[in-house]
Amino acid sequence: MALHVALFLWAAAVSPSQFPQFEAKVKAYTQLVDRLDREMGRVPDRATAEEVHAHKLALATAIAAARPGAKQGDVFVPTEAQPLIRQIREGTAGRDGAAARKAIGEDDPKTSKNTPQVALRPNEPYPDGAPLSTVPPSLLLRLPALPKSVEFRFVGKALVLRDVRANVIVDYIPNALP
Amino acid sequence: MRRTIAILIATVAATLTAQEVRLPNKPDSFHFAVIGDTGTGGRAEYEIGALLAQYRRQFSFDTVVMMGDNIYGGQKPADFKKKFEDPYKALLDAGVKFYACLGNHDDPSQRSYQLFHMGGERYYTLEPHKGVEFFALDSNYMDRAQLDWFEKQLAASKAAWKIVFCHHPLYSSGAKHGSDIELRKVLEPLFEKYHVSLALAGHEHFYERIKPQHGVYYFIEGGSAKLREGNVRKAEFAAASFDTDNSFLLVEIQGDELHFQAISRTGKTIDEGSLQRPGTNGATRSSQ
Repeated sequence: MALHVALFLWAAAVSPSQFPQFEAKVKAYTQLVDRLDREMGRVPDRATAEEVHAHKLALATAIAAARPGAKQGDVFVPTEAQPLIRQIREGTAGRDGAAARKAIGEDDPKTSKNTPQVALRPNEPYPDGAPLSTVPPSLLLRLPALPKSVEFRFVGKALVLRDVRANVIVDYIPNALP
Repeated sequence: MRRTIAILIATVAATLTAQEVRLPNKPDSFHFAVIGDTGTGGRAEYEIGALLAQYRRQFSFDTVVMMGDNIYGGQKPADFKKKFEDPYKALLDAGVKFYACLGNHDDPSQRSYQLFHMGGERYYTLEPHKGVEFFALDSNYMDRAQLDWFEKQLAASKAAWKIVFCHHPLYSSGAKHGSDIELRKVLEPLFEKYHVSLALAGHEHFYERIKPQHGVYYFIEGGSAKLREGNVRKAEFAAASFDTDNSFLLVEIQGDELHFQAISRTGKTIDEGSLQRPGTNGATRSSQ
């Protein structure tokens, strides 16, 4: 039974080609950050806490300088935001989506107690101490695959594209969840 | 000054409370410890750290696996010191290696922190002993790439003991979180197909041992610093639970046998037993 469910989830996975503009924007963004990362010297795989922290801050600063006019919708282009929202809402709807809704809601930084609020702005650092929402596997399989350096997260109802290396918000879609 | 006093208190407490190790404790077997949801920098974390060092004098281990939420709150260098390097200083100084996975409170940049031994990856494998392979997963973000990677690693593994550890438990009797059904849907078929023997998790701030599910043993150790007292509910699948104090788990693998001893912050043995590797002949014995 479990295997059938897993196979269904795989089958339900969305072909990445359904979001060509989004993918192109993500590619351009990651190429930019790869270049910035290379120029400043990548953090070693076995770094001290000081090195990890300093690199994260420096990369975030460099990203902000490299995309000074970044605004909501730059990466989540409006023409493809709606199909993405549809995928998210279908994946979290009804009884079948109950477990996914629960997983997202548990670690939502918007409702977590005693944690800093996340300011939804491109280039804005994701605050230290704010939990990262779990994005359930069934939902990830519906969304376009991403390079390792960026990831989807939820903040309240918004879908956020987050830069893992620099810990900054790349873009977001407000009200992606109902 | 306050930190020094806390360390002193923890050390004294551990000296007073450590009891004897009851595992077979054979010199040629593989020993490791399990801690979870540790990164508070609070007194309980220091006490468990001191107690681990105390037990290590009797039960020599060089490997500790961490179930995520390694650093709560701030993620600055001072936080790594207060919430990891200081509480486990005695173990780190002795050369014990900690292997972390990411929890929902961890900045994924922890993967590059040298003392977590993640090699710059969100998910990775390690084989600290012949025939024993660990698969560290990022259960916060189980995407297609990770599932593909995991299946390839499992298919290629020659280890008799395949041990998975990640933050979120597939089975849990916790009232706060409970079983992660979403994760179970995608991981359990792989566990079964590739004969995973043991799965370790945290997230729930207590200790729990689950009855074997589809041939896999499950443990939760998420109470090594935080505690969610009274959170365990009655669950048919739970074999043993402990939610009244902080805890850690010692494990010994000897051939096809796994021995375990879960220990509370006061040094009390809260669960112990022996398990036969799934797929081999033999009975399971345990007591609480």
